[in-house]
Amino acid sequence: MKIKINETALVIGAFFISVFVIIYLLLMSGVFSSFSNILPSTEIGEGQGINFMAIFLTGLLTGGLTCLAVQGGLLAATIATREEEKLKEKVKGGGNAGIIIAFISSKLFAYTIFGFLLGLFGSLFQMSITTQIIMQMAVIIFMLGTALNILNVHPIFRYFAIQPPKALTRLVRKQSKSKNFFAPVLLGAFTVFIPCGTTQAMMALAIGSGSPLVGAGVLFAFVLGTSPVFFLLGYFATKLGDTLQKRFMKIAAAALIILALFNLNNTLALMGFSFNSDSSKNEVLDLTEVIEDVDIAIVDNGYLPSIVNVKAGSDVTFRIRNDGSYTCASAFTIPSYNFQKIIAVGTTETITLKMPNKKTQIPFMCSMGMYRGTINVI
Amino acid sequence: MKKIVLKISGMHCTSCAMNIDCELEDNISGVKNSNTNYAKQQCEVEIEDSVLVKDLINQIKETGYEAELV
Repeated sequence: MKIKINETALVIGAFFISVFVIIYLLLMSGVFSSFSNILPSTEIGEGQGINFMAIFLTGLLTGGLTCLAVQGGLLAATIATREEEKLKEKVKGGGNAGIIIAFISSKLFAYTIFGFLLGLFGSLFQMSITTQIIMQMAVIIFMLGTALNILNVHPIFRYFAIQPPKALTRLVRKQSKSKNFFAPVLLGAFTVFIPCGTTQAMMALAIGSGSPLVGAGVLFAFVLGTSPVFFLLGYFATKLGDTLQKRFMKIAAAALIILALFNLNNTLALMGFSFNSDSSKNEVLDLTEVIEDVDIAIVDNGYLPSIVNVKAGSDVTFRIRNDGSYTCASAFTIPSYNFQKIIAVGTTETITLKMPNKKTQIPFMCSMGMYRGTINVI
Repeated sequence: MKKIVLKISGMHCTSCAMNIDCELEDNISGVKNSNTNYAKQQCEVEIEDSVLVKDLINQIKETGYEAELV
């Protein structure tokens, strides 16, 4: 297939290449590690214990390539149909950048809406701590299964790849051959029905977030990440060599495993196991100060104080105040008391709990197990 | 009309299965229905008696995968 190249399209293409290269260089130079430290303080940054930057980078560096096998083919088919039309109507120029941008934009829009719906669906499972744990565990297993399938570890993992119904795949395929002016827009939106393995894992993550906004954010970040690669390879109608494709698939699998392990760490905390306590690592434990009335403030990146000392066997009143955090820290959770309460900004929740008679440590945390603190019973 | 089953290799996601089905149905006349299962790595094709199995296999190869009769 021969594709015409015009100047505007070249400029846009060059722009995407530059963005891609700059982000890649920044990543290599370690700038993102300091940037990601800024993110948790924003409302959406790591709102639900999910690192959007990591998801974006997964999309940017691998997702686009793993999904391109079919979606790129469909896009190429649309471009080819458009070229034929132009030849018939003897229209000159125009380029394909517009078609690809229409395709990518509507894809981004459709996935964001779908992420919102998945998050909404997931929120139905956030009723209790137990269902949250089950849900998150299912998501982790699905992500690991998908990664092992990509790595071709054992044929059994192929069952983790959900095959869309044929009627849907046919619908998408038909759209790619449509001569309709809006075909690329519809095709972009319809790709939501034919997600590749990495995308399916991101969809599972969106469900697991249990929040429509975070779900939308997950898929938005991922699809945005895939866009530059889609644009470039779609524009130049290039097919990746098998070896390169396989190499990127392996990176995608590794990224999925890392994301799954990150989730696992949070979920284990929610179950009562604690390997590291992020919020308390900078605080010095003062064993002399034992209090009966505990005031805890919810801030964007956790709880202040995140370590409190209480007396064994006593009744302790906790006043938990949300000073202005919209992150998941507002869902204050004490797993061992099966206590969870979403504390809205500007409100305070008071609860009195009977402490155990022996010395122990009771962890408290956000609904995802990411922001943590400890009640030291002494 | 007959039904044959082909063993496919080289598929790395469910979308590859879709590719194979569409290419067979669109490009080979006499293919009534093609149903490729990614998990089982096989393709069930309903074809008219006139269709040659080697044409199916060649089409799948052209699409980028390997196929053999089970």
